[in-house]
Amino acid sequence: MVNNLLKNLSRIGLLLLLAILPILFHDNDHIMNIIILCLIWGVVAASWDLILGYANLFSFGHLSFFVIGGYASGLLAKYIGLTPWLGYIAGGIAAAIIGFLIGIPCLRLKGMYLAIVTFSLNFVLPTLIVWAGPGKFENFSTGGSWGLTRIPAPSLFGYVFTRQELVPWYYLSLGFFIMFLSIIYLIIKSNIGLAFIALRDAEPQAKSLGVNEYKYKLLVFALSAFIAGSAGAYYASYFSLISPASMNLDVFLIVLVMVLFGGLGVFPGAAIGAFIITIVNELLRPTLEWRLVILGTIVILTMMFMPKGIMDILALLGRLMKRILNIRRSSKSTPA
Amino acid sequence: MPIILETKQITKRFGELAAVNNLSFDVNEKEIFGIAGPNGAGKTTLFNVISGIYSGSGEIDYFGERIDRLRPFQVCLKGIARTFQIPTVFSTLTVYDNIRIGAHFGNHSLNEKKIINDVLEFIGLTEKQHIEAKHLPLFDKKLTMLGAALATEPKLILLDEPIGGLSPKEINESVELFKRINNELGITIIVIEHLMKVLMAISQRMMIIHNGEKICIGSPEEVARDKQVIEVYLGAEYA
Ligand SMILES: Nc1ncnc2c1ncn2[C@@H]1O[C@H](COP(=O)(O)OP(=O)(O)O)[C@@H](O)[C@H]1O
Ligand SMILES: [Mg+2]
Repeated sequence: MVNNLLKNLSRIGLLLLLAILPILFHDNDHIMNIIILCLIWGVVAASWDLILGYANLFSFGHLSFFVIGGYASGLLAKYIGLTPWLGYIAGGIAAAIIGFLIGIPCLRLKGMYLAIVTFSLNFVLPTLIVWAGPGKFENFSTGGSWGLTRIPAPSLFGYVFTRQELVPWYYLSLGFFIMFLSIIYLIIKSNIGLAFIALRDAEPQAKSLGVNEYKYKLLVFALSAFIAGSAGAYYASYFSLISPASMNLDVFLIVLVMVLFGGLGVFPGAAIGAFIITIVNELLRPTLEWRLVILGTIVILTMMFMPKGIMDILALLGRLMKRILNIRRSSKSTPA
Repeated sequence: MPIILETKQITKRFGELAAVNNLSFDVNEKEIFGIAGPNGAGKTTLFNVISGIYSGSGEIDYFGERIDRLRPFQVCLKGIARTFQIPTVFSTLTVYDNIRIGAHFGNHSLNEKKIINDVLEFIGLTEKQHIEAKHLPLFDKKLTMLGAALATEPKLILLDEPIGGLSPKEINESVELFKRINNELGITIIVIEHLMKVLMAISQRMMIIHNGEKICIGSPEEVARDKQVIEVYLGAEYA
């Protein structure tokens, strides 16, 4: 009872806070930009957690799907004139197709081997992007190592989103975030999510109970890639830029830290981790190259002392709150 | 009685070792068929080959239809369920959801909820359906694993040392449950068990394997009289 009440109250409180954030920070572009990034990375981290935490597949090429989504939508917008709205879907579909194709050879791979194969995407994809740069293709040039620039922003009822006004971008990002987190939540709670969890907890048993492991592994590759790809398309339209640098090793590490710190397979831990790590990462900017060392230390400490990441802390806080509430109530009901 | 399962010369090798070696036997519909043999005889490997976890050589027919090239989920959908020697459950899921896996993925029935509730009732875990499986004691874990297999509504179920590690009282309850699965639900059972007394009491026919090979098959009385069985397995006390 108390537990449910607390949960619902904290949910409503969180949503209210998110809804009124711009009132506090609307004239500070720097902070608004960071909050928008929190929302975008929240989607990316949560989609990675779907395959890493829920399906327990060591997919370490997840940022490729993010970048593929960005390029697909960016190229279609620039050269064919596809609207960014459709670009968000097209970016997702492009990433899902690649995710599906990469999933096929990965079906029989496990653990380390799967990690190595998928991790190599982080080197293959940037090379391909640079190769397909200026001079290679007249139309559809990726822009090479500079990246694809001047990707158009969306417009709504005649209003064109612009980097000069971040409040509209903020609300759009919030909508994007809520939509994809709801989708991820629904996947986890559906029979599809049940299959992921079954294969994670006890694969031979799941298979012997009728779970078609190939189907669900391909599905989780495609679904998580779709969401990352759509987030990549969104990111590209927000910065009007996508480049191979978006999947640099330090970005990879930071997003991995988000997921691990948020907690593997404990929705919405990864998204919360993304919020915290995005902000911490920003605060650590003055420390320059020490930033990665500090983030690495956070991961090691997390893995050692709270394997479920931030969700362990939240559970602890929840228990504490409950105890305090109970103490209050019992001190009220028993006359002194 | 018609034959439900027929294996023809199945062999499974791990490198040089033939864990199952040229094994042929039939199982009749609706019987309880016992399998025994020393540790490492190849009993679990045999189950893994039948259920499609391993692919071996030879032929396996189920109601006259070849199933030896099928993947585990397909074998399940044909109507063959199994439990595991090391009790496995979906530890982060509730008992209810553990059963739901079998009812949803291993069963084409549209009435998922009814099947789950019936199974919970049958294995006696209705009260504990909301507990996360990792918090269950061993016996309840085994019941949950069995329940998930039953929820696929199989015609044949393979039980791999289902009473290992249980107390005498729990063993009695399990044996009663197996008899009900056989009698009330009409499910054919192949059961691997170490405790010869229990196995002989519940099996209509049994097979003893040793080093992956069949050394004897027949009624419990026949098996108990077999010289080779006494030599390699039962030991002096039965002689
Ligand atoms: N995956 C495997 N890889 C290699 N050897 C195995 C494997 N599984 C079983 N074995 C070997 O096959 C033999 C039979 O094992 P098993 O079928 O588990 O025996 P039982 O269930 O009768 O005790 C043993 O010698 C065992 O070491
Ligand atoms: Mg065994």
